[in-house]
Amino acid sequence: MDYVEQWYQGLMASRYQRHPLKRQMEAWGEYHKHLGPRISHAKVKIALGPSETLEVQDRLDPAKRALLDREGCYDQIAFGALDVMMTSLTAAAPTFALTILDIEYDEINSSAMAFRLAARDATRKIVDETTGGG
Amino acid sequence: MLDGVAGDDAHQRALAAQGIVYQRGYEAYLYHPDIILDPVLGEWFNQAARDLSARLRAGKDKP
Repeated sequence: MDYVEQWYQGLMASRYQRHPLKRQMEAWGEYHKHLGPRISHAKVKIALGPSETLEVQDRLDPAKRALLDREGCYDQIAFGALDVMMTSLTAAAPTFALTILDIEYDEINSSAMAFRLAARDATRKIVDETTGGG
Repeated sequence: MLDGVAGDDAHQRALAAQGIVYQRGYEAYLYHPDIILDPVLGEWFNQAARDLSARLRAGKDKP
């Protein structure tokens, strides 16, 4: 059975019949790990809300936005939120409104992947709050 | 660890012991350019590390 094909055909759409997000919710996400000989660090504050389409926007000041663009981190924050929202067992939703509210960037230790994992952390917190820990 | 040091401090000491300055892009002195410049693995590194790694590979900087 080709689950990817099923997914594309919408046969699993029953999972998405009711949007799990009832209102816009905010959370900080953090990723700080020693990875062998290096450190990886990023923090991001996002807001997630219900939407019929996938929307990504930000309320960052221009300097922080430029930083994310320079390092290729902006898209990774959206991918991090999608990673969790697409695979959550209790609150899966392929569409939502993501707003990037703030970031903490470490010039030495931040990377695109660190921001993706920080966005996953923030999204998990929102999903947990929405579903009561699922 | 009763007699050890905290992770961040240990990290700084290990780098210093190897003569690596803890500054933007320092990972280029720790990982082979094949890792840092890999399209997928490279996402774990920032642009400074990728730039320095490319210069090291081209022989423009000495470790």
